[in-house]
Amino acid sequence: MRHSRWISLTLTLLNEHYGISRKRQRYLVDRKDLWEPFLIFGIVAVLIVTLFPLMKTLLDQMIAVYAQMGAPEMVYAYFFMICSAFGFLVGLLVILSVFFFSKDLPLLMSLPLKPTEILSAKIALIVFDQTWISIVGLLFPYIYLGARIGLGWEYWISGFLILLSAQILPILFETIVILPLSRVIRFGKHRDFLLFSVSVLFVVAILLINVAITNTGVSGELTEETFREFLENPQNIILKGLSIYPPAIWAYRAVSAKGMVSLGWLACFLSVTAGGFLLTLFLANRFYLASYLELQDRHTRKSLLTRAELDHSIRRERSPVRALFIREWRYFLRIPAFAFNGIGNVLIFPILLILFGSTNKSLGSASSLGAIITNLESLRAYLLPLGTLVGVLAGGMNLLSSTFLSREGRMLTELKTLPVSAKDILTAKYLHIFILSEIGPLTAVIAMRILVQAAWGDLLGAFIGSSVCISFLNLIQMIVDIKRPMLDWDNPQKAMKQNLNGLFSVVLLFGFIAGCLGMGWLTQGFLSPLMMFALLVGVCALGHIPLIPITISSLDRFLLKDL
Amino acid sequence: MLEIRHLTKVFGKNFKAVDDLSLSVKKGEVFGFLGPNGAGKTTTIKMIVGLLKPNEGSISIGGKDIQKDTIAAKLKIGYVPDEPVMMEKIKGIEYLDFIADMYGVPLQKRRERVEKLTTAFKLRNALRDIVAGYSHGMKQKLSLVAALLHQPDLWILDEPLTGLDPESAFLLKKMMQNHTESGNTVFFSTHLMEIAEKLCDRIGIIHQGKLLFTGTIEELKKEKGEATLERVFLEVTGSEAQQMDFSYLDASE
Repeated sequence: MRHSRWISLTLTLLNEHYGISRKRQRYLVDRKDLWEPFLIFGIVAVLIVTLFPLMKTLLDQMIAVYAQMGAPEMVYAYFFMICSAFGFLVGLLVILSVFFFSKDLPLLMSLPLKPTEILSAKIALIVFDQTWISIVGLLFPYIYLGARIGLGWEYWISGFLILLSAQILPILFETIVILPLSRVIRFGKHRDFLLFSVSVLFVVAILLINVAITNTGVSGELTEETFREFLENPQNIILKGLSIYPPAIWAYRAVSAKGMVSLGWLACFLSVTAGGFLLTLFLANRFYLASYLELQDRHTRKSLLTRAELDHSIRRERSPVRALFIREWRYFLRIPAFAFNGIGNVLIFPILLILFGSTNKSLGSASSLGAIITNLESLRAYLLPLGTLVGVLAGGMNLLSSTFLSREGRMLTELKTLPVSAKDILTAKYLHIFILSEIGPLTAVIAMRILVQAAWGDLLGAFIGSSVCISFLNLIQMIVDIKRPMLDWDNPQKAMKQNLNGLFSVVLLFGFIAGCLGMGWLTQGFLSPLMMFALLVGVCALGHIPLIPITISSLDRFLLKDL
Repeated sequence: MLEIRHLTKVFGKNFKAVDDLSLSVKKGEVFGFLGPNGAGKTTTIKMIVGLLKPNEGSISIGGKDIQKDTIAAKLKIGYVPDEPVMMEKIKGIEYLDFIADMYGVPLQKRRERVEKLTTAFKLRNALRDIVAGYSHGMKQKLSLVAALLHQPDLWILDEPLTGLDPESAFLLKKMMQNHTESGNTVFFSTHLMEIAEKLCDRIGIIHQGKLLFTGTIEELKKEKGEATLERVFLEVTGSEAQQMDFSYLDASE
């Protein structure tokens, strides 16, 4: 009885999360928006076709290197590690949103369900969702490696089961951290924001400590002793790298060993996963319900707001644009999923650039990024147009412009009833997004200064140039979101992460960068770098002239439509 | 004040939620909009405030067409939806200040009105709190205060008494009467017959998208010859509720 109830709950959650019934109704019964699945299929097909040669070359090189060390299965372990790291990064916000701030929780809590049943169903949902990361990141290397080397049945069985369960441990680890932590954070009015912030900091701190401990002994110069150790047993050095995340060692052992040994390591991996799951359920019983209820436990103050306090709170009259602009910031900063995603998206690329750059600098041109940096030295003459594109890549990845209306959700009703023009709404939203996007070029030029000691003139030019290009791309993405906003969401994460417009913006951004690089390559013989820069920025600046009125009139028409 | 002409709203291919509805509400009038669930009340109200676009017909508020002269028309309206929709992550006082900015309420006036209205609705002690922590009734009251801040010519209230405590409901009824006495207009939907009977100068009954009756309650009773408005309403809307047998609910298995 309870078993079937859990299955029913999980299936209903999956149905609701992916909008299966809604999509079935729309595509099969109403036969509306049939282009959507074709578009998704088309984008995926284009990505596969364009990324396949790149991925194949990368895999061939990696297999060759690791085969020389006698450990080709390390390629699998390497991609397993990357997928797990992504799982950690993406999973944290998803877990917090799904466990504590999902709109269906008041209903689920009122049903005769145990906290463990709710939590395990929600974990199943998150794992299902996160497994897409493994499918995208690990499936191809798994098949390619096995087929190319001709690995045995142990590899195929262990590799497949590990692929399917790769995301469970990161999710469980974070859940185990969050559940007790949620009992500690009980203070303040913005408990949800605090819970998000402290959890992010806590998990990042644990990972950093782990990295620091693991790196002790393997970092620094290649001494005679470590070189001898490497020659004697190269796999030990390899496994030291994997020890940042011990399940990666078990995964490596399971896919590389033979016969029963392989199955033994697989059993070890799966039983740790099962153990983690049981520990999570135990913690859920102890903490989850109480934490959730406490987060709902809000009450109003008893003291009356005095006239002086009221006058202090209502200090000035603002123009509609200014008031809407402040509304944008409040809405953005007070919804943790928006704030973390929005700021994180524009920071992640430059920070990765700086981190990898500083790590690889000590290794010189032997490392992959070291080689890129060395190449950049030879491209110093093209620093201005290339730096501009780096800035565009960093700031254009904001996912804020492509979801600027979608993020309103039900709140769009409020916006529609207000006596303000589409132009005012757009101005406020555009300015908010533009300011946030600017974090991208700003950190990108800092990264360029650190990595290649670019001249201040080039940095200023790249900053201004990328700002103009980002503004141009932002407007295009805003038009796309006006045409098809995703307003029907119950969890703010969905407005950004499950939004088709976000996928479009990524394709647009990469297409823009690739197009510019291609044009640069073709015109390098007769266009100076400065001319290339001027053309790029000029076209984007001129592009504003038709785009601004189109965006305003599109929004105007949209606001007259039904919701 | 409010002129609706041949208003039609079709959802999907052929579901007429509102079917050729015409009515006019005069200045200084309290107009009650009655109808069973799904009759088309909220759809009509959403078209009046510009949330839905009519397939046919026009709506004019104080001479301003909501489709053509949208902003001017909206400035004349104070709208309270059936379900309060507002930013939940900001403080009550911040929300009211934002709405006052939108309607251009002068600083001194907004301070006075916020103070008086929130005191009257017993909301003043919650103004510094985040809206997400408010009860449904408190959100409803905040929505009401926000709609009244700019002293609109026309109040559009969709089921305004739902969720309000008796004191606030009494206050609102009094405010509605005061509002019309100073020459303004109130258009509200309700399920509560006694409220309609007490407050409304005129009523309109909508059923399956069609306006079946407009006029005073006396005119309606005279026409149908029934004693109570509730019975008249059930008869007009063709309800079978009076004949239904619910004894099976308590029958032992």
